[in-house]
Amino acid sequence: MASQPSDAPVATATQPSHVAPTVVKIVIAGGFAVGKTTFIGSISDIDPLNTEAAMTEHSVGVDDAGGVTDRKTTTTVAMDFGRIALPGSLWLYLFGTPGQDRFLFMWDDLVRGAIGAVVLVDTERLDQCFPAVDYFEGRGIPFVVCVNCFDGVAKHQLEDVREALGLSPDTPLMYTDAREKSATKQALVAVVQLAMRRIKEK
Amino acid sequence: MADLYTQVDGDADDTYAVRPYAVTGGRVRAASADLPMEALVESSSSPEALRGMTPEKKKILQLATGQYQSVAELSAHTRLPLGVVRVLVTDLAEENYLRIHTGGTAQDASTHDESGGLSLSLLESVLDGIAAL
Repeated sequence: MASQPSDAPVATATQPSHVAPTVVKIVIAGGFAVGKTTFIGSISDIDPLNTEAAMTEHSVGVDDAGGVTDRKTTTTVAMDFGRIALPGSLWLYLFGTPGQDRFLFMWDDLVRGAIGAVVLVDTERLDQCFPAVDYFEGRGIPFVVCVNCFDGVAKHQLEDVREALGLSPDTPLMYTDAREKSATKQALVAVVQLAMRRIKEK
Repeated sequence: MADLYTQVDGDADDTYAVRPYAVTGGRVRAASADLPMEALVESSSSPEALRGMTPEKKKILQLATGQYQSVAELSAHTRLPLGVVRVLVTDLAEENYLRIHTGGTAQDASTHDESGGLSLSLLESVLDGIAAL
């Protein structure tokens, strides 16, 4: 079978007898174990699901016999996601990013067509969210930063966090509780509002 | 020789009976590379049509029969990597066993401008929807 050029439309020309929901997505980023899956689960209609992407890694190392090994191995990267049905036949997907920095390049696939992103921050491990902040800033993707208060207690002032992360004054920054639907809702609202402001400013 | 497919977490439940890329005939990237993971898939195939199909394709068609499933959901439910599901879904669509809907994804010209930006009206609907949750 001949493969299509990569820019060819994938969808078949067949028209459905009924209209499929319109899908949109928001990416949930942050370091390992910062509460991304909890955040997604607090508002998702479905229990968060897990999908894997396989990728080839080129590794060079020294084997037991002292020889240099040079080989490709395939590893898997797991992503959690959830889904929310909104009125007007809209489905909102929330995709959690793989936790490890070395899979940053995979994010291109995740963020393509996304409304924007939520970066979850654990103030005890602030450095873990640097890659995400850099990534979204560098690509001009609307993002909000949410400080996850694990015990419902804010340990740091938001302005201190803004300074530590080097966030611009117009990047929304707020406290959240990944377990609470109402807090998650506020974070998502903030992302969509930011995305709308960006369009209006154009 | 290095394994073509190595499970990193070593969970026995996740072990594939067949190496995933054998399932796709060795293909990794083709037209399927552009298929958004949130694209919805729907099958209208009759049970008879499933006869003789590979178990992986059969499973995808069964999951997507009578309901919309995203490529990501199909990957989660079949426990096949995203890339494999993309290839299989693209094949099945080309063979007319299922339909792919990309409404709202970056491939949809009615909701996105040419640079991939979303339309304001769509974002307004999303905002209202989230606020009403």
